[in-house]
Amino acid sequence: MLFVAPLVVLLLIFVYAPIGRLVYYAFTTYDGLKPPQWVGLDNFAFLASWPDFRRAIGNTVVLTLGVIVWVGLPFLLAVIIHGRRSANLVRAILFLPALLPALIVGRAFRLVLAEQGPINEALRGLGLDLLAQPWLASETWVLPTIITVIAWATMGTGVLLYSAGLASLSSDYVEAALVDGARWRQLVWHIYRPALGPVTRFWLLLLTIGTVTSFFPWILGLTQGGPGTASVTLDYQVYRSGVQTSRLGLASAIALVGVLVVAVLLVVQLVMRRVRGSDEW
Amino acid sequence: MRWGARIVMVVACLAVLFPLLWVLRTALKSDAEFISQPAAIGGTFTLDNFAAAWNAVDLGGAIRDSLVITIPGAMLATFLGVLAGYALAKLPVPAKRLLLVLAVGGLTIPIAALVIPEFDQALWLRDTIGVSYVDSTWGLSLVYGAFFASWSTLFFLSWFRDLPADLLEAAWLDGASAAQTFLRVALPLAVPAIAVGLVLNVFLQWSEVLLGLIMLPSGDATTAMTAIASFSTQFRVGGPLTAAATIIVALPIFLLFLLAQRWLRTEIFGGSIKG
Repeated sequence: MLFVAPLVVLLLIFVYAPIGRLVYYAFTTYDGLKPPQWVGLDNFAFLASWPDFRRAIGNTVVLTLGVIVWVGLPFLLAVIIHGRRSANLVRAILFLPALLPALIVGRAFRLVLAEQGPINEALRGLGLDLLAQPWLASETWVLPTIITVIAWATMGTGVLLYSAGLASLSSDYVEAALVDGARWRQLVWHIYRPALGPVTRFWLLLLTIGTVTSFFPWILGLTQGGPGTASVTLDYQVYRSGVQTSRLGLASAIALVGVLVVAVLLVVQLVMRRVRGSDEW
Repeated sequence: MRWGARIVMVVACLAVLFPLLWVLRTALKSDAEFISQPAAIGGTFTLDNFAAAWNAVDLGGAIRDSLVITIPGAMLATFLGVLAGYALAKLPVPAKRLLLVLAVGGLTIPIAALVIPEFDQALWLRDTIGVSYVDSTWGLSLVYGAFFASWSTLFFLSWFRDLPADLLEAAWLDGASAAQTFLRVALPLAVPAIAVGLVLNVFLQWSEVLLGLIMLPSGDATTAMTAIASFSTQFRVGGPLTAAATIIVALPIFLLFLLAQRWLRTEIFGGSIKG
């Protein structure tokens, strides 16, 4: 019990006590100066009809769908790289972005994806002017661009995890399948995908708690929520309402919704795990 | 398939390296050249931007503050994680399920949701007992230690779970107490894992933006990430100066990882990655 006590005490003080405060603030109007005033469900009623909030939820959902890319891309790359001569070098290069904080990655891509930046200039140089876009300043392109940047940053870690999974995989299955005349696509879908299921679940969990609960540093680094509200996520909206405009009661209500969304996501993953009858990550 | 695979590998590596090299190229450009031809590869190469960025916002001070905050913060999170992880994996702790939920629950809460009440609670403590964790480096270390203790606990829980029980039982049978068994047997074995826990904690805490921004309101101390975040509001975003500042701030962590790479690979990825 002594072993666990320090953790419990510090979590109660620095994590759970503030959560209690957060729940209380969510039912008040509060500007940080005058004491909070109880308003019941007013904040939530306001959120229900506030377009900016709906936009934030929509954006968060769209970005969360990025996990399909963040999981799929490293999976395919790991399978392609597996067993090749330069595999270690390739994996080491792909892992480099994992050493950079999200904010720094965001800053780097603001340079690369700028209106007059190298990507657009290269496209124009090739005569593909139509494809040149203001990637981070366009309503349509900003979310796919953010998903791509996060894919760039997380790919290396995913590849390493999947490679570790592949290395411990018995080659018998693969050889048997090849003897049966399986094509590469069939091999990937019917052999590698199910065999690497535990890795996928672990990687999904890492992405859920590492990225989905904290889009904030990505958004701050890349777009600061813009253009307009086109890339505002739930946690970025908390920052906008709370820190930038001092509507702390409203911000707490948004934060509470955010906590619930993550809880739902985790429960869904848990249920899926139970349904599939596997207790491994 | 063979050529296809080679092409995919080359394209993936170029896609990863290009943005990194581009930031470096931009940082080496003169401002005038950046304005006239932002996408040019050739032209002048100058180191002036690094000196200018270093002086513009006291990056040295921000890096020092970040180290002063994250090193004790990482040690605290690792300390809490090792103790709790060991107990939850190997000892008969009452209400284990509840403790596990409590520890893991911390992971699911976005930091953005907690900064406001965290800050208010700190002010309230200052008003009632006179001492508080707001606006001090040790205070932020404490907050980081608690916030990042959750995943540390999970990390060490899974590490100790894989530790064979007979090693510990032998010590038990020799009459060692729980504390002695932990200190003499489990802890020495866990040294490589502890090194990894420390490195990852330093990285995560170094990368954290929002708490650093809010919990140090007077600006006496500034984290490296806050310095970078505020850099763009003071200077034109995306210029050579910002690029240079970004590289300077990224460097310490990059070096830390390179030094620790060997351990990281084997510990995190199970040592099963072979050529």
